[in-house]
Parts: sequence; C-alpha cells; structure tokens
Amino acid sequence: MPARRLALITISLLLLGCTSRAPSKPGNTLIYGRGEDAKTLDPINAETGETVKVLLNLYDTLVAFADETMEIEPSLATAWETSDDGLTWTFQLRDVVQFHDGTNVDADAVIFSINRLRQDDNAYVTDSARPYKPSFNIIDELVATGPLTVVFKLREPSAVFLNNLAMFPAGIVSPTAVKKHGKGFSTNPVGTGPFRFERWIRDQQLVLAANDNHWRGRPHFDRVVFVPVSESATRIQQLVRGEIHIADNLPPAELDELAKNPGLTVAEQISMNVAYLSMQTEKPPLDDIRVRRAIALALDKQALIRVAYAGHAAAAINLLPKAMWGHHDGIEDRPFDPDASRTLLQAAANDKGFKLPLTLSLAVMSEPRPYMEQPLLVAAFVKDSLAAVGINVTIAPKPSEMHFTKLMRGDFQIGLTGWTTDNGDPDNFLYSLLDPDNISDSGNNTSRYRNERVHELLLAGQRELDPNKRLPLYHEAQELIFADVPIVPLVSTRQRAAHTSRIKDYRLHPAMLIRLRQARFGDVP
Amino acid sequence: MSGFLLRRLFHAVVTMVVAVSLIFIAMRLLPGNPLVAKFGQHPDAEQMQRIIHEQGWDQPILSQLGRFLHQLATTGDFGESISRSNENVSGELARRIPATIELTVVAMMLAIPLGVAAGITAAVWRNRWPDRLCMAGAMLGVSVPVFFLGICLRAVFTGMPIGFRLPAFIIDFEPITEFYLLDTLLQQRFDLFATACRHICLPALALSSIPMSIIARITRSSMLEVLGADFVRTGRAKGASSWRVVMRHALPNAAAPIVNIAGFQIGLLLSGAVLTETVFDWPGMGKYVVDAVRENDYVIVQAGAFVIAAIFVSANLTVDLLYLWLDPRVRTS
Amino acid sequence: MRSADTIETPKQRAWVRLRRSSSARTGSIVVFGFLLMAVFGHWLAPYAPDSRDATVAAPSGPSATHWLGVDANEKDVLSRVIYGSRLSLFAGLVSITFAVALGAPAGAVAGFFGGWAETIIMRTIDIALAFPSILIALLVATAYKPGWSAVIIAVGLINVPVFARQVRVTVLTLRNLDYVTASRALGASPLHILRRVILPGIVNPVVVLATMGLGAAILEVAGLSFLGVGGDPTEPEWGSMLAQAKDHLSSSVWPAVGPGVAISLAILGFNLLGDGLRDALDPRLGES
Repeated sequence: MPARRLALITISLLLLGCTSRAPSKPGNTLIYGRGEDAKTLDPINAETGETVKVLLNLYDTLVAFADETMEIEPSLATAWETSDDGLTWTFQLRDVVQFHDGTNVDADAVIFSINRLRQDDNAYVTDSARPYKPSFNIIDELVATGPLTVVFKLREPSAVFLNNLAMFPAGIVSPTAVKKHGKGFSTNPVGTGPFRFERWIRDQQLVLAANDNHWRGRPHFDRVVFVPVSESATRIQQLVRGEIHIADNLPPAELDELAKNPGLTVAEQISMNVAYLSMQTEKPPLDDIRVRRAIALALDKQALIRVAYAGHAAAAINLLPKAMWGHHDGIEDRPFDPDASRTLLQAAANDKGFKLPLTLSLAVMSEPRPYMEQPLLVAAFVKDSLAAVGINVTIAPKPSEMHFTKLMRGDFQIGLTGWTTDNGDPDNFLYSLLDPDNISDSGNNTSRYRNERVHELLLAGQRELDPNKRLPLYHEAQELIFADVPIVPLVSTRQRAAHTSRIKDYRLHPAMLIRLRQARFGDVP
Repeated sequence: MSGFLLRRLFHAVVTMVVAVSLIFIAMRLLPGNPLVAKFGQHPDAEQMQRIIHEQGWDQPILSQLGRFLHQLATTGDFGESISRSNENVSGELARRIPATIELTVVAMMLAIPLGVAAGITAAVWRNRWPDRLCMAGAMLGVSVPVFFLGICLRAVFTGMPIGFRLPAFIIDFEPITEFYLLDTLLQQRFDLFATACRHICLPALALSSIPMSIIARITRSSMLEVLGADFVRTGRAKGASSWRVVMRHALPNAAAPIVNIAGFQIGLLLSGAVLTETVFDWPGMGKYVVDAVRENDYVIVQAGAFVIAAIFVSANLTVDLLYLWLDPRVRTS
Repeated sequence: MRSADTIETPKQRAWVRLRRSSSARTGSIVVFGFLLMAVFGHWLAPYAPDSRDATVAAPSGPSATHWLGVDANEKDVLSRVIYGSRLSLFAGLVSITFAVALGAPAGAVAGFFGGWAETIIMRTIDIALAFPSILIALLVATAYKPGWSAVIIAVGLINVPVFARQVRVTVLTLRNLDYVTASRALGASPLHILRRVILPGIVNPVVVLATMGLGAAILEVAGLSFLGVGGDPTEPEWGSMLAQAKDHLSSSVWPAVGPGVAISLAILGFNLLGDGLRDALDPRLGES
C-alpha cells in the first residue's frame, strides 16, 4: 500500500530528526547578534552604527581612541607633530604593517585612502555617497615626504582634525585590493585590522577571521560572525538558547530580565550620547521662549528614565553629555514644575492670542537608536506629560531616515532626536547641532536655533588648539543655550549589551565603538 | 487548447508589465528619496544633488520608466540597490526567493494534506462531533492573524529555534540551489537537514493556518456534494467499502475545486509570508521588500514587485493547467 | 407540525434559517459584544486609556487591579483593548464601505454591459490581484500622509476586487436568467432590468461578503499598524499594541495576549456571522 510506505518514510524521517545529533558549534567562534546588517564594508561609504561595528574590526586608522576613553593614541602612525600655525601635520607610520592581502602599509597607501575619502572626483570611489566627507574637507593636500612619512596640509587650523582621523571613515584601505576589486571592494574589504574579511551573506551572516599578523598581536577569537536579527525578542531567545553569544540593542527592561539568567552577563558602559527634544524655533508657537520653557518644565526626566529606560540612563541638562570633556557642570537643571509650566503657557497664550489647549505634533522615529532604545515609549511619555499642562500632542512615527530628513527640513513642531559622539569633541555636538551654519535642508541644527554670540563662540572653539582656552568658550555657549531653550535635553543612556558569561574582557567604549580585539572565551586557552 | 494557453500567457505578460510600471511610478511619487537612508544623520546637500543627477532621478518619471523596462528586457538585470552600497539586487533576490518559496511550499505541504484530511473527516462524519471539531478549528484558523499566531507559537514552543534557516554558527555550509532542505540532502548533511527542518517548523506552521482552514472548508463542501452524487451512491450500493468510495471515487471528483482554491491561496500566502518573515526573522523576499519600502529603495521594491507578480501569475497559469487536467468536464469539452 | 407552505416569503425563510444557524448566533453575539465595547467603552473600561499606574511593574501580567496586565507604558491593557475596539471597528467599517462603493458599481458595470468596460475593469483587477495585498497597502499607506485615514484608504482599496468580482458574477448570472432575457426581448429598458432584477439580486451576496470583509479589514488594519504604518501608535489600537508588546515578551507576554485575542475574536465574530448570513440568504452562493 502506498499510504503505508509513505507513513514509513515519514516515521523514519522523524526518527532521523530526533536521533541525528545537532550540528556542533565551532569552538572559538564568536557569534554577535545585532539588529541590522552592515550596508557596506567600504569605510568611506559607511554611516549606520551597525556598519561601523564591523569596520572597526576590519580597519585601522592612523590614530585611534583609547580602549575606554576618548584619548587619542598611536595606531598605524606611531608619532605625529604639528607646525606652529597648526596647518601642517606630519605623521610617522609604523614600520612593516601588512594589509590582509600581504601588501605593506606605506605613505602612498595612506594618501590613497584619505584621498578616496575627500577628493571630489576620485577614480577609486565606487559609491559616491560619502557621508563623512565634509569632516575632511579641511584637508588641502597630502604629501609623502618619505616611504613612511605623510604630511597633511590643512586649509585652516582645526582642534578636531586629529580626532577626525581616529574615526572609522579614515580607515586605511589596501590600494592593491581597491584597484583589483573595483566595485567589489565593498564586499571584499582589505584593511589592516585585527580581523580580516572571510565571507558575507547579506542579512544572514558576516564572517571575519583573526588576522594572525596584526601589529597589536593576534586577537583571541578565531572567527567573529555578525548576524542581523531584527526582532529584539528573537535576539533574546537566541541568546538564551546559546545560538548567539552577544546581543546588543535590547530594550532596557528586557536586559534586566536577562541579567537574572545565571549564564549571562550584562556589560555596561557610560555613553557619550544624548537624547533630546528638538523644537522648531522658527515657527509659532515655538518661536515664543515661554512655550519652549513651559515644555521643558512639564517633563519629569526621572519618571521618563523609569518608564522608557528602565532606570538605565541619567538625566541630561546640556546638549553635551556629562561624560564628555567640555560639559558645563555648573548649570542647574529646571525643576519639574507643571504648575509653572501651565502659568507660562497661559501667559504666552494671552499674549500671542492662541487658545489652550495647544495642539502640537511630535515627530518620532520608529526604530530604536542608541540614545533612545524605545522611541515610542518616550513619545507616549512626552504626550502624556504635555497633555497635563495643556498641550495636546499628536504623534506621527517615521522610519529613522525619513524622520531625520523631516527634522532637518524644519518640517515639524517638536521632535525626538539625539546624537552619539563621532569624535569625542564638544564641537561635534554644539556646532553640528546648534550652530546657524548647520541650518539647511540637510543640516543637523533641527531646532533652527540662531544666536550670534553662540555662533562666534563655536567658531572660535574650532580654531583654538589650546584646551585651556577652549573650555571657557564652550562653557559660555552652554549657558546661553540653556537660557534660550532651543531644545530640551532628556537623557544620556548607559549602553548595555548582554553576553554569555563565557566571554571575558568584553569592554564597551563610551563612543559605542565595538572592538572585539581583546575579548575572549574564558574557557578557551 | 493551445490557443487558450497562448491567450492566457499573453494576458499574464501584459498584467506583469502594467503592474511593474505602476509600482515603479508609485515609488517615484513617494515623498523623500532613497539617499536619506545612505546619509542618515550625516547628510551633505552637495553630494546628494550630484548623486540624484548621476542616477537620473531628476529626469521625467516616464523616461526613467522607459530606461528601467529597457534594461530589464535587454539584460534581465534589476540594477544595484541604493541604500546598500554596490549590492546587486538580482543576486540578492536569487538567494531570497528560494527562502520564501521553501517556506511557502512547506506551509502548503502542511496545509493541503491536513486541510484535505480535516475536510474529508468533516464530510464523512457530517454534523457529528468530528465535523464540528474540524470546522470550529478551521474557523479559528482563518481568524487568528499570522502575526499573533507567530507570537503564540513562539511563546508555547520555547524549545524551537526561531529566526534564520540554519543556526547562525553554521559557517561551513555552501548552498547550491538555495533551497536549504534540498541542499542539505544533496550534500548529505543530514544533521543540517534536521536542523533546517526544525527552523522552518514554526514559520511554516504559522503561515499554513489560514490556507489549511480554507482548504478544509472547501474540501468538506465539495466532498458533501460528490458524496451525494449518483455514482457514489451506486458505488456504495455495489458494496464498495466506504473508505474505498471516499478515496477512489469521491476525492478525485472533488479535487478540482480544491486545486482551484489552493491556487488562489498563493496570493494570500505571499501576503502572509511578508508578515511571517517579519515575525520570525526569516531572510526571504517579503522581509527584503518590506525593509526596502521603509528605506525608499526604489530598485529593490520594483525588483521585488516584479518577482512577486511573476510568481503569482505563473502560479495561476499552473493552476489553470492543473484544473484542465483534473476536471473531466473541462477536459472533454 | 408547521408545513413549508406556511412560510411565505423568501425573506421569512431566510430569517428562520438565520435564527437556526448556530454560527450566526455565536457570530452576532460576538459582534454585538464588540459594538457594545466600542460604544460604551468609556463606561466599561476600568481606566482611562492613557492613565498610568506607576505602582505596578511594567510590563506585567494580570492582577486584581489590572485584569489583563499592564503594558510597558504603565497603562492598563484591558482598558486599552476596550478603547481599541473603536478604532478597529470604525476603520473596518469605513474601509469596507469604501470598497463596496467602488467595487460593486464596477462589478455591476462589467457584468451588465460587458465589452470594453468589462475588459478594462477586470484587467485592472487582475493586476491588483497580482500583488500581495499587504504590499499594496504598505505602499499606499506610506505614500500618503501617514495616519489612520491612509490605512483606511489602503485597506479599502485592496478589498475593491473582492466585491467587483462577486458582483460581476452575480450580475452575469442574473442577466442570463430566462425571464430577464424574455423581458428584455419584450422591450424592457436596461434601467428597468437594473432596478428590478439586478439591484435586488446583488444585495444579498454583497451583504454576506461585506460581513466577512469586515473581519478581513480589521485584520488588515491591525496588520498594517503591526508593521508600523498606521496612525498615532500611542492611541489605543490593537495592531500597534501587539507590535509594542512583542518587544517585551521576555518580561511579560500578557500585554500581547489582550489585543491579540481581541483581534482574533473580532475577526471570528464577523466570519461566523458572515457564514450564517450566507447560509441563510443565499444557500447557493459558493464558498469562494
């Protein structure tokens, strides 16, 4: 009977499913689960955080941020010096560093890499979108004065130039490989980093292997596999089941649940980020400072931290994160005071002739960001808090990219946003996010805040190379900004990632740089 | 009959061209441009202008459409993704379509036999408890949304793997056809085959619930109709066992409407696959296209739309052929 | 014993069939329950939809004060499920009305007049059917100003073919009935036929389909807002409640259970009612 034979086959298949042993895990391979895949592996085209996580392990830069601080330390360059006018920087390269393809790093390779990043019509650019190019427009010319000596000539002195060279876009790439692969370089990257590229199946797995010849010494893991798992609940389940070893970008409350699991550890670190509420100061009613102050007074940051961050964040007073150099510790935050808020709002309403309750639309991104793991919880909190003082809020979430475009165009009333440091410098927050130079359809001064004095201070801060003279400039700017309330700083988060307790020495970086060089499995010799 | 086929084929091609053109135009009319995804929080107006010009997005939509259709017809290539640097969309689709088809086929392999079995059971024991049980189940099956069923299945079967077609730590598996269930068998990796089966279980189960229920109901009603027909009654009168009557006489005659409805389920299944892939992190075409809609990635969306329309249209053609072959009335006429 | 002759009109016969049908009974009870919830929500719900309770862990499961638990926002799930019925039922109703208003005339025109009109209408429908409906809805909902109105239009649009096809088939059947052909031969105007035969004839199938379509529309609305294309996600709405609950499954699954069961029950109710109506009104109407 065919039916009986079919049944037999089915049963034997089921038995096979039960008896065959599960595929075994490779011993010294780290599986890293995150929310999204990399978009490219070419440093000049990268922008998203998930892309950067991979690049930091594939490439080295001339100088680098220290393990757990924003200090600049030597990397591919062992020494550097600046001319007195601050326009000429000379870098001495480390002797015999090899790219993953076996070619050597020399002055020409450095010039090749940096020119690819900054030049308008560079022949080796295969994707013309270079988000970080503007940060390097300050470079006028690059010259090799010896096989291992590179001279950068700048158009004007810059306090942030060195920090910018430590950022991922300035990663040094193998010219041989770029020329050989052309377009394919973004999927066959060759750098000098602690891990070399092995294979990439988009949206499934990205495999890196240890670089045996890394100048800092071989990393501990034989392989690192990055897997994108978009649902955080799925990442959690895979972590608990042992299918992945590290999971990041998880909702804070879920992390607390995971921390109770004996086999898991939660790594923590401060982060140099800030979440804030941007207010469109060009349009009524938010052009009225009383309305903006009323909004600031209506938000109970401690309650927000409890509800939307499960307690794992610190209230922010200034745009600059407290952990960063330049933060003004002397400013005291406005207290949470709904009554004062209502009074202010009423006064503004009487003056400007609008009726209460006021209706405002709140722009919010639909995906988590490092400074806001749960945007919708924050949005709901802002909505309910403002409802209590007489502002009805409507919420329209958008995918993050469209959300940011909308904010930059000034096409909003109030909007949730935030920033994570690129280079650890106050300029990267205050100038990028609040200087009138950055008011445009693609500028990050989303609140369109204009204050001439702040503008002068920020420009002076960019050119001043002496930290002791720079500090007062930034302090004064922060005081002015606090008084004008163009934004309401909400919180700085604590970054956390859950990993199996087998992993040792896994350290997070305040700028959220994920570098897997030092981490290892405790039970692998 | 070949005239009929040709006409159907012609209709199918026209349908697809129009459908893809509509999607192409719709995507261009969406607010925002795909570059915002590339630049994120670090946009640069100057570069963005240049790229828009280079890509020809500042030209009239119809001329863009013309170029796209010409490129598609001459090279068969969809071009490169916008938000993902230098990604060849055809290559990506070639990996993701099998994932979706595998999921859909396994879901149908669950839905058809179980649905038909439930339908026959219900018809044979009409108005008795097996009938009520099966039909209540079918009613529930069409009512619980895939995305809630997915959450329930995950909560109940905590031991089952979710997300991906194989565990993330398998790095030595080189697929041949991209149908993992097939590839693991071809490579005689039985351990991987078993694992792949476990991975596909929950998503396929979630996806199968609605078609299974519909098939059960159709089978029941079409069996009831046939069971009341003369030749079945004659068969019974001649002393054939009721099992034999059902399997040999009634079922083949009830098959045509079942096949028809199973074909119609393909559109429904693809819709369901979009949601299922999202809930279960299944790296298929549905998730790919949904993510691309979010990122405004024209190239991926129009390629995905083309492929989905092609699958749907060819599935319908196949169903028409099967229908011709199965239904004696159509065959002889 | 009541003989069949004592029941005179088809309407009465249908009513008797409807009352006998257990699925119609169950379905109407469920649907009626949801209608009550939608209309009297503010009396039934124990809390206001936006009131927060900072005294309980959030999210958490059922307790004496919160019968269906509390979501991650510290809000009562039961109250939000009850308030959520408003948006779901309303969105379903409006989008199906939209679909009927567009689909039924199109189908009637195609079936009644045939020719070019039919070709164009049916080809358009074929094209629309070549895509998964959720993808079309996703595109429509992102293309317009996001909000519930975009979702309603999207869901309405993807349901147009359902009505157009059914109405066309019905009209074709009715048109070819002997007495219609006869009266046409006798010189009855098309308008007369349309009014006296066709219109009454398509009411029943449209009512049946619309009832079932309501279930489908509720599902599609919830599905879209689950995917993140909807209106204000902080408003109580089942799909977005479910979407937000799925991020906190390891803390508590309860915030997902409430809205999930509500969606399923509402769809079940309309499906059962639709089934019952079909059996009662038009036993010949197929299952398709």
